[in-house]
Amino acid sequence: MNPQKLSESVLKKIQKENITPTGRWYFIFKNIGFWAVFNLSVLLGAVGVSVIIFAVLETDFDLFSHLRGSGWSLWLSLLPIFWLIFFVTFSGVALWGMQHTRKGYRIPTFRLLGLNLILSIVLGFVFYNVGGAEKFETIFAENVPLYKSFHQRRNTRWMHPEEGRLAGEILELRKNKILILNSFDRSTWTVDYGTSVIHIPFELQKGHKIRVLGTQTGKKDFQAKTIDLWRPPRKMPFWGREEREFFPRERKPPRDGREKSL
Amino acid sequence: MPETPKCTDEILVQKSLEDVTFFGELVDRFEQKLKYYILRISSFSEMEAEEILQEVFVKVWKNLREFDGSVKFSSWIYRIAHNETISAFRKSQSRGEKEQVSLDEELFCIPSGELDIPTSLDQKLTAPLVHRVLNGLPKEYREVLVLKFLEDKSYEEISDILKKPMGTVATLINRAKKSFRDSAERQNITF
Repeated sequence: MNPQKLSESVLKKIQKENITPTGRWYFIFKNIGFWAVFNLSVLLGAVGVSVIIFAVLETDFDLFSHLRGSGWSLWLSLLPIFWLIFFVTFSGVALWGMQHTRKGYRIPTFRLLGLNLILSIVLGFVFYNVGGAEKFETIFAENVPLYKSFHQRRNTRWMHPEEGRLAGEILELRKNKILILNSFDRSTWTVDYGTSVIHIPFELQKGHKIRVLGTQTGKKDFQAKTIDLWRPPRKMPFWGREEREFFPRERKPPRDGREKSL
Repeated sequence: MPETPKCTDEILVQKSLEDVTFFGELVDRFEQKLKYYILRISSFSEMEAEEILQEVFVKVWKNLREFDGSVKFSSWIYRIAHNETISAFRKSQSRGEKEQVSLDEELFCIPSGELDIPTSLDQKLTAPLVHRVLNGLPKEYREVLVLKFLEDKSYEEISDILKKPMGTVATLINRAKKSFRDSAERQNITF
């Protein structure tokens, strides 16, 4: 086949089969599509990061010395493995999307991964701070079968008075450092906190949601060793998002932040 | 066919979109280069290479509006030729066809001084040996060595053809050169 013949045969084929060039819009939309995949995956990755932050901050690290079971299984039960997989998956999809954009192949893979990681972490912190992580996780738990939310799992962990863990809302404060607690599984407990350490920077009040580590001394009696707020107020490192909803409505915590024991 | 002796490839692309007969000139410009390229990176016969080449040009025509000038036209068309060759190679492998290796050895004349080939040696004498060594290399090493030393492409062009970052291309070329030397040694080939 000589050059003349090839060009002729190509033109002949084009004309005979009426082959026309694909429209420019197709390629523009294709490129936009890959960019959209990248952006959406970064956003979803950021959601994953925000839920991971939420899960880490929800973890009661003081429980480790009290929980039964082997160390590894405990760690695994507390790690947000699902969300780690979620984040890694969407990081991979983001990488794939970017590499398929018109000039994405020019960026080295490690740089793309780094960019994706930075964007996801920054957006993840933003998402967490505006309360998106908790909402997303709740919606996810409500709609995905077999998935238990961190709240549900945490509640379950603290509903074991026989293993020294109890949590609920204070119904009443009595004399001699006795409080009546309505646990989250709706049982009423009498808690003696006379010898306990209270990690709360203000006086206990009716309506406080607390978690108690100690010993079950009777059918519905509990001797407290330590008392913490169910969800302590916390601030994120970049800007403050105080979770005031866990304080009684009629009184805010004092500003000096002193630790008081009753 | 209209004569456009001083047209750049990019202008010729624009003209082709207005009048298909100009596309024939693009075919003429790249036919020989792409045929050699296909033969160098694969083990297809000349006839098979020509069949692939026809498909390459039809595909180029179909996707001509994708070319936006952000890369050189030659890089863009080499990329299509590369992809079509790989695709044809996979199809032939799935059909269980054996590799065809009786090629014109002159296609593998590497300029003296490159790839540790002394300048005193005749390229025509070393070409069959280069071909033999290249044939034994992994596909990705063979591709970059062909593009760099036989097609005389720059790192940027190779990056655009293979759709790999320039740093990766540089690393691949270094590894491929080492692999080429090692393979030559194993086959007792000295240049």
